[in-house]
Amino acid sequence: MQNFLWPFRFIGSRLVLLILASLIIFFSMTLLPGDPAEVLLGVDAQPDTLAALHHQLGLDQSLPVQYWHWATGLLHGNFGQSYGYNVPVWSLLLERLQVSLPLAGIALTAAVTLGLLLGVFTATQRGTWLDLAFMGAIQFTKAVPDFWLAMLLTGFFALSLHWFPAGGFAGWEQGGSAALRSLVLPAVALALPQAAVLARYTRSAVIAVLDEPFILTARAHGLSERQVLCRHVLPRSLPSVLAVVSLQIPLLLSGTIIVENVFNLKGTGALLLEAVNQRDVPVVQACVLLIVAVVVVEKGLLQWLEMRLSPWLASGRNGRAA
Amino acid sequence: MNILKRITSDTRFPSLGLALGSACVLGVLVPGAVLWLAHLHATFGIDIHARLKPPTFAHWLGTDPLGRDTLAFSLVGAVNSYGISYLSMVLALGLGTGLGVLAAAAGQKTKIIANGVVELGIAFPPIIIAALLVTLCGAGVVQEICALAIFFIPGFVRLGQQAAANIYAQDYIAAARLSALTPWRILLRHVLPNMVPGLLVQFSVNVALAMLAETGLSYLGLGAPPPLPELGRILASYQVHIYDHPHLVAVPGVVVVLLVLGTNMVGDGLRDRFARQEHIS
Repeated sequence: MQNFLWPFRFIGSRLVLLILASLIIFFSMTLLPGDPAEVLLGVDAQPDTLAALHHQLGLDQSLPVQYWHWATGLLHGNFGQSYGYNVPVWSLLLERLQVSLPLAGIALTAAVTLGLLLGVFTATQRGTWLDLAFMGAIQFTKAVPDFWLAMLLTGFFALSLHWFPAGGFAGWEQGGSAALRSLVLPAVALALPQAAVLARYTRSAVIAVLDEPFILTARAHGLSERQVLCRHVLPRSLPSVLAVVSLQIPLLLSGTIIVENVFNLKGTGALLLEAVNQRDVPVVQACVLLIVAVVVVEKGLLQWLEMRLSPWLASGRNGRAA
Repeated sequence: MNILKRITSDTRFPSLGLALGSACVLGVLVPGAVLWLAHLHATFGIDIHARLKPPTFAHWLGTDPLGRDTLAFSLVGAVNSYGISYLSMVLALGLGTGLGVLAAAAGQKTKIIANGVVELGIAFPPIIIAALLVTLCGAGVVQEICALAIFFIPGFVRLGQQAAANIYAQDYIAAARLSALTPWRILLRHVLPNMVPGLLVQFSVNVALAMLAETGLSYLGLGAPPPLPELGRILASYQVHIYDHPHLVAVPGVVVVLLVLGTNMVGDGLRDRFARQEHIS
């Protein structure tokens, strides 16, 4: 019964979280001093023009009604109208996501691949000089801020060697290769520090499993090191590694915002910062909600995956409900 | 039991990481603090004739685009950045652990609330919290400290809750209850002192993470407003000189790396030391 109800409770708790987050985002913005209509029209606007704009923006209604309109609008894909650009927010988001989505995707894939490989490798080489050297490098890379790494990479690979563009985004219209080339350096700058963090956790997770008695048994059965690693160690250590990945994704999204700024990429991060500086409330709300929603959904998915990959947790007392 | 004694007590292997880490952090912060005090009442003088000078005896690493001493400016920025990260973590430690311990000590309802806070808080990355706060109240030191603290509170809630729950399940707590100690006395005398090692490790690891987040925020202009030097904003202002004067970008960056690396090493060293003591005792 518990297992049967579990998916509903799980999805339900995610939905509650999203609704709470949207409430926080909406009502924190209504605390903003000043009248958006006055900001848009200037100080010497006529009272009747102000009233008309109030009505058009829905600001003459009570706050709960405004929230209801905003939230139901979101469900229809209507994110409101940008104050600064005077275009629908979703068209802005759609345009900017063409940069941010590939960037975050490439960086995440690179970070997870590199982190897992390095972590497993250093764990199998535990105690050797090679392990020590890699651990030193990992400890150092963990301490490097991604935007500083981005600057150094631009200085070296873009300005001195001219291998990659130093900034800006070529756009997808002129073919994928130019666009991808302008994403390589930002993705590397984002991925390396996160890969270092992941490599460290992976190393400890793998070592913890390697020390378990059942690994000794597997070796005593005559399995090769490779079989031990692939069949017994990795499946057992993957869930705890996934938990770390799900904690890293919010930081990676934060990093995307910063690194987009270094490379002058017109992504969602740049849009959010412009909107913060211009107090373009609908755009701030939409960007923040988008990022928070990605984190909430991502956490849910990875937690579910973690459960699926660790049957020993589910067979416990009553599993790990959300 | 005395926590200071446990950290400083002579074990067979003096921890190399702990010593190296402290050296990195203090090597930046001690000269930084001296310079910080020297510049307490006077902002850094702008000398446009002395801009972008190469290293000399008076200015060890040359001067920046506004004629300030690059090294001194970076070190003062480091003190501000580290101070902000440290204060925000003290705030997060206090609030987060407090809520976590309460959740462990009290009933199911508090536990549900604490879980909700954790889940909700984790969904907001630090830059998002800062963006919301800056849109609302403008940029400022207090906003920056709050943004960082809010992001790290959930981690401390979770850790505090787990650690306290583990301790409450121990036999000596049952013994303390049987000897009719009040819940408050049990909490203060038996639960909290035993949580200190774990919290100390988490604290130093989080100070390093907060430091990275802080430089990111101030780089984007979401940190403290301009007269206060902060490493992120210093890096942002030197960024255009990456090609003609690369050392300008290198100096504040190396300072960040030294502080984060050192703090991480202190955290790891403390963890190893506490783990060894658990093992011995």
